[in-house]
Amino acid sequence: MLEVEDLVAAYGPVRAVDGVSLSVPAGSITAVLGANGAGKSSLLRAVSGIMRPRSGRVRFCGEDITRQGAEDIVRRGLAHVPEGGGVIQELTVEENLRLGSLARCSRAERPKALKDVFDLFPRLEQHRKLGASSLSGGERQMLSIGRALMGRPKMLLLDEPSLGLAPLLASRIMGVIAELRQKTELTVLLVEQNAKSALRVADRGVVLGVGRVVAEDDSAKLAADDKLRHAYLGF
Amino acid sequence: MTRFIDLTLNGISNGAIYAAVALAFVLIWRATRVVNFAAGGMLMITTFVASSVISSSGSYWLGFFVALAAGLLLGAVVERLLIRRVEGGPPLNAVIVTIGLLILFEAIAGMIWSNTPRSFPPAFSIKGYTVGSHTYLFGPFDVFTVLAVVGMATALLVLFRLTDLGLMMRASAFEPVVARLQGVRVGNMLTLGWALASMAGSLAGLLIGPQVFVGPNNFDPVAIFGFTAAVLGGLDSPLGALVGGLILGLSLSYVSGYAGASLVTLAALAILVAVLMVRPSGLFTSARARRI
Repeated sequence: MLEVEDLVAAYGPVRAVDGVSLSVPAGSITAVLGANGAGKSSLLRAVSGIMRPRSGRVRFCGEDITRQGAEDIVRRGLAHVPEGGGVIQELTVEENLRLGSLARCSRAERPKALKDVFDLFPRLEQHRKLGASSLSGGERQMLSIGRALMGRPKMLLLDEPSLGLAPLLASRIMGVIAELRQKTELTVLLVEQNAKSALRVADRGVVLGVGRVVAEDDSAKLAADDKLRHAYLGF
Repeated sequence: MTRFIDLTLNGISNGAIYAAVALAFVLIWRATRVVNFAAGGMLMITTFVASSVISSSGSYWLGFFVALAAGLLLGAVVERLLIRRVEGGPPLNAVIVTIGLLILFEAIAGMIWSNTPRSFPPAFSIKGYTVGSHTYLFGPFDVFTVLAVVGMATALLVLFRLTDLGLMMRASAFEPVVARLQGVRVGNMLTLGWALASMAGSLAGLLIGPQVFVGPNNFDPVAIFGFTAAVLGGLDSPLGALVGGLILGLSLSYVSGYAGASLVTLAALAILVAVLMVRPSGLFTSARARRI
């Protein structure tokens, strides 16, 4: 579904993503792992169009989206939940969710999309009229994932959905991701620093080290590789 | 007592106009985090356009609506051609561009329409209503002024709060990158924000024109009053702009009536300085810290 070929993305002279190639099959959950500064977030930013890649190619559903802007890429059904969620605090919970549906849902489809998200995250329904700034960290993460789902995406790019959450909440979020894939055949590219919990839900893992792919394999095999675990995954 | 009522009514009517100018500042600040010092110049240009259309066609309302449309267009063009290039850069760059634009507009207006101020017709009679033996300083045109500003503010409120377009505009103003990730064409939203702001300014120009006459520099005080009202309300809040405009209109009216008209500009500046010293975030601003 997503193919990344020799992608390079840089902040000035610093190449955060330095020739990354990977492919994400439809319906899979692929984890991108690696330490701080390995280029995981930059990879997502370059794929979703927030950051303009310097070279290389990104193909989504067979079409080249390398040079497209973020607003066009999300319209194709590739939704990016940025690090920290990117909840807009000045808007209410419901307005945040509505925003996610505007570009891809017709008016008639919206109530159904909203209901689906509320079924997945009942907390959001309780707080729908509240300002998003009053939500807790975990609720914000749910809101940002819910907002991405409002556009009925084909694929989700999730940037550290468990960052800063208590372990219990973090594993709940991971559970939701697994549940989503089962129910909707959503394809997910999941960036995580917590490699252990990410490999538990992912089918495949890609390990980045300073902007390059150092390993790519089935989750079980990556988790079993002691050398890799100690050097890159920290568990 | 009648004097007090007169000054209050006059303050409400002028306050409505300041509120419209304040809205022009606030909408632009919210959309692009730029203080548009060219606002006075832009509404001056559109009022000149109205003046020309009225004198050549003979229809006040044609001129009125052409001026509003010209305001929309002028705001959009200024944002696309000039402000787009300095957005996201150091704030001072944008400030210098808008000040340069003000000087440019005033020079161009002088060249096209001459520097001699000309009179501008009101939509309705400016003669005050007479109750008993007293003729109040408040007539049909003042009623129109208040209604026009309230109507425009209500329309903007409905746009922002109840429509998809308004939601996209607010999202673009608060979190442009996040908005892009939801598929919002942020650039277009910012252009629209400038266009609407400029239209609010145009309305103010049409309403204040009969009082100050139309000349290249005649709207400078109104721009300063509007800016003061915007700061008073907290540059981020459209509601604050309205309340700020009203407070300033009333204050200046009382100062003018009880202390002398020559003190009005000074009083406005004193209020501006006092607000910046005592409550720099304004009366109605949201929690987020301000950069100016």
